[in-house]
Amino acid sequence: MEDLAGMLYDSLSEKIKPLADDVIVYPAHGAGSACGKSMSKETFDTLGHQKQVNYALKAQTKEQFIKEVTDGIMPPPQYFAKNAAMNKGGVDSIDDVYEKGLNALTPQAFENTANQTGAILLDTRDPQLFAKGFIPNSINIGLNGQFAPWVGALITDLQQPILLITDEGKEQESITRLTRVGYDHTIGYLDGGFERWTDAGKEIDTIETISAETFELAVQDNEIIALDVRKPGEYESEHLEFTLSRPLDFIDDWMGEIDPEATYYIHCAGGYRSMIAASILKSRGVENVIDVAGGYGAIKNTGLKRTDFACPSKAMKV
Amino acid sequence: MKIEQIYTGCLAEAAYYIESNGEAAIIDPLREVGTYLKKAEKAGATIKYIFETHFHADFVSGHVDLAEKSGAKIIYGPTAKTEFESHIAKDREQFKIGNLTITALHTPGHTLESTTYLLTDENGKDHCIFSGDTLFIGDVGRPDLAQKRKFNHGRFSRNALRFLE
Repeated sequence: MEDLAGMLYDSLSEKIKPLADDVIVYPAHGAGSACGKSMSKETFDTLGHQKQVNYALKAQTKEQFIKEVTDGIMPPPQYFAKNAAMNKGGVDSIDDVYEKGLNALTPQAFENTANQTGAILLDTRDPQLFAKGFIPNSINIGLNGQFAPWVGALITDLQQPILLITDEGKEQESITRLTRVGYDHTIGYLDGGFERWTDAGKEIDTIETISAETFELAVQDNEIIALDVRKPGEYESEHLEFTLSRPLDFIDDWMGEIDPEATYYIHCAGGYRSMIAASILKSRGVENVIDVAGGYGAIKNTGLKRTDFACPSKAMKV
Repeated sequence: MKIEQIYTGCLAEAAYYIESNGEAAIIDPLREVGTYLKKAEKAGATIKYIFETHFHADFVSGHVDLAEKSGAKIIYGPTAKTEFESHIAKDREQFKIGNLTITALHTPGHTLESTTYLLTDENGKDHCIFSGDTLFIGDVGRPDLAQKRKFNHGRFSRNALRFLE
């Protein structure tokens, strides 16, 4: 990694920095991408301004550059190497992917297909809507968030057949956003959405979701187990004193320590990731999962004790 | 000269549409290529080149599909090896899009084949760079992926084998 970082320093010094200050920089990514670690919200800038503010361009020596650039990088999500291989080798036309995936299924056909194929049931609706009622064993990854990166991080087999539950009219968008990260095996969707499933009298499941205020009361009355599923860096910067850091990114690593009989309160930053985690725990037989709606953003407005330093005994090593 | 950033929030990814004098180019297209084809068609422009800044790891690019549907040539930077038809640019090789010139600057680091494309306008002035994952706003691309790939490759092959069985 240091070799490549050194190479990057040379590339920037020899090819980029000599360009005029008014040259505009148009990068391939902005804030939120796992391809870097501290990108700005802006999606373009002048090179001159970047020379003043970008820590990597400001580094005075190669050694300093290497140290700063390699420091604190999270391990890449599992799908990165697989997507890179697909980009080298070529993939199916998106038209073929749509043809296979835009397959409307009645509740009965949906259930039969699920049983026959062992497909993953992926529900792309809003987390709070999902919590009120969903098909047992389905996983919630909402379209209204960083959908594709979470699919990529959590579904390890890109060949996995997928059955979709979406808001009506969102089937194609769901398929498109799956293919963006190489998940080309959507084999159908629940025609008419989740309502049809309940209309048909099929079994449903729910996840209890509580407000931050109710969470505060629960903490006062009982000994509880609360999992903070945000990234390690988010947890380190600030967290509740009694929560355990269990990042969603590494759920497979900590799943083994979960007791199916216990009750778990789960929160993230805003309620998107906690529902993903809750749905995964549920699908693996953990019955008592309680989601804290609004996540840390809402928790901050309560009187719960917060800390602003890392607690190494509780923080998971990653 | 037209330069449009097409930003996709879900992936925090930016593709680019460049157009000049009836010719167009796409930088780092996403998988759903209809958007780019429609843009070019609406402007009456022919997509001549698809520039890839590197082998992306965080999304599957639509370069092959777009090349088939538009007839455009796929360009990668030095040292890239592809299993589909492509043109591997030499360092400082130039490409014409209408009155604009794109110069491929080999900038290895994020990955070995990473390349920055410098756009020079109709007056010969350097206008902008498409820096891929070499230079971000406020950051640079992580330098650990090209190395990790070696390790993960074995796992990927095993999965592929299992799938064949």
